[in-house]
Amino acid sequence: MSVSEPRHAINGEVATAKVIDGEAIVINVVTGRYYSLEGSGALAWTWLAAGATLAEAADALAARFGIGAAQARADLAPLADELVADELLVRGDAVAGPPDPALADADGVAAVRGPYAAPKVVRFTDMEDLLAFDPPLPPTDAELWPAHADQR
Amino acid sequence: MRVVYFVERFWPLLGGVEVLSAALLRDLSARGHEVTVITGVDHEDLPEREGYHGCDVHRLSLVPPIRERDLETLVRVRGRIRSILTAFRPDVVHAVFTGASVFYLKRSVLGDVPLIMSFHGSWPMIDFVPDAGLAYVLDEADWVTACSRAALGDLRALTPVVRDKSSVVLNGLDPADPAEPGPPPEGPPVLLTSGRVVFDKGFDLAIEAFARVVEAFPEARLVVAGDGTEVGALRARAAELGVGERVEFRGWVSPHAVASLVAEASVVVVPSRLEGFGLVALEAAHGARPVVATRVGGLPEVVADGETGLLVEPEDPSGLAAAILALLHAPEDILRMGRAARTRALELFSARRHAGEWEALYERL
Repeated sequence: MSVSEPRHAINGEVATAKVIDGEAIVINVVTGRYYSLEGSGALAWTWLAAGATLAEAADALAARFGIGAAQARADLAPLADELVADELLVRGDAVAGPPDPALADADGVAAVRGPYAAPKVVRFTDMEDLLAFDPPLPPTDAELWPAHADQR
Repeated sequence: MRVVYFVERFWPLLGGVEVLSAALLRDLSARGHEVTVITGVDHEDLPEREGYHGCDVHRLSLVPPIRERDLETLVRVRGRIRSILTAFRPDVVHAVFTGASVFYLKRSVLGDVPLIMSFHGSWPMIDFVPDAGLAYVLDEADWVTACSRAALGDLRALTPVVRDKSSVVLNGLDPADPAEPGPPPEGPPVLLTSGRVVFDKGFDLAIEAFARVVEAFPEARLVVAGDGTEVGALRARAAELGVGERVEFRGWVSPHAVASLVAEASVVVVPSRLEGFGLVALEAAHGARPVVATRVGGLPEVVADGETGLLVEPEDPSGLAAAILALLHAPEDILRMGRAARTRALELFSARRHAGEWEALYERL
């Protein structure tokens, strides 16, 4: 592990995130874009968002999935770059770390198991379109509801 | 089979998809399938949980936390969906694509339960971005269905991933009234257009065409049933064309009231620019009325040209007017095509056939 490596952290100015049942959900609250990282991606996000260097996050991945640290790092590097480019993570020497090792057993993260697949982020950059896709129906005529109570 | 049916809105809300969903689930339940519905709340006075014809309906706040970027609530809703799935142990999840709620349909929520995504619109209705939510869902789904062959072609053109895991399930609905419908009322002709009053539905073309119809039938009326963003512009255009007094804007009407509007009409006009299926054309057929429709999307599959109605090119008010006038000048064709339309609808688009196709698909996955 190189001590000179920059650390990562969640970009608290625009991003909010939660890890649940092995999925990291990240929202860019400024753009309204949604992101999802499942499996190894959720673990990677947990570490990087909490202050890890690439090497520390790769070690966590390697330990969880029984893969080599070199492979973990190779898979992790492009993901970290994407998350920084999307402004969900910040990277720098001033970032605090390292993360608490207890993170591995935290709620939501402990659920990350199973065969290894390279971490990836799914972007819902079309969320605004999806929200506009099927606008709400006009206010329902409340008088219709009792009339159909027998269909319930 | 144990089926989870995931749809943003459900009975007693009454849009096209809602009516189709309710009819399908009544039939599936009657066939002995166990169905759990996960749907949105939308109205505060609807219960969080209730039964519907043997189906267990859960109402959750699906879309509001996404719209409001409210992560805490979103995570709670996601957890609730996962709990419902864990407790119910479905054989299949059938999700109706209606937009943002697809965000919940991820493997960490579904586990290894097969996912069917059904699409009821014509595509592309939103910009398709290869690396975004819609693409993800199409990729993740174990099977994808479209409501017409045309809509399936559109979906397959969006992304190659659906090519080998997709099929058509034509919409199916029974007439609201099983009794044989009567002929159009005596008197001046009445034209009906019905649906969401938005640009894609082409109601502006119906107004243009209607102005030409009025030249031959000065007492004719056009009924516009529906509401939407274009109502103001349509009113203004009708007034400009001098037919403002002859166009009736009825506002939004319940699908259950459409049958009586069809009964009042001589001809139903579906001038859409985009149409996945064209449920209103099916409702016209139930009421034994011919349809003049544009040759777009699924409409040529619902309307047999020259047999149950007339098809015209889109964006062609002259062609639309000519087809309407051809029918109005030949009342015997109105009766003949109307009867043929109803017979064809009962054969090809029944609720029984619809439910049977879904049942077969569930069992295959």
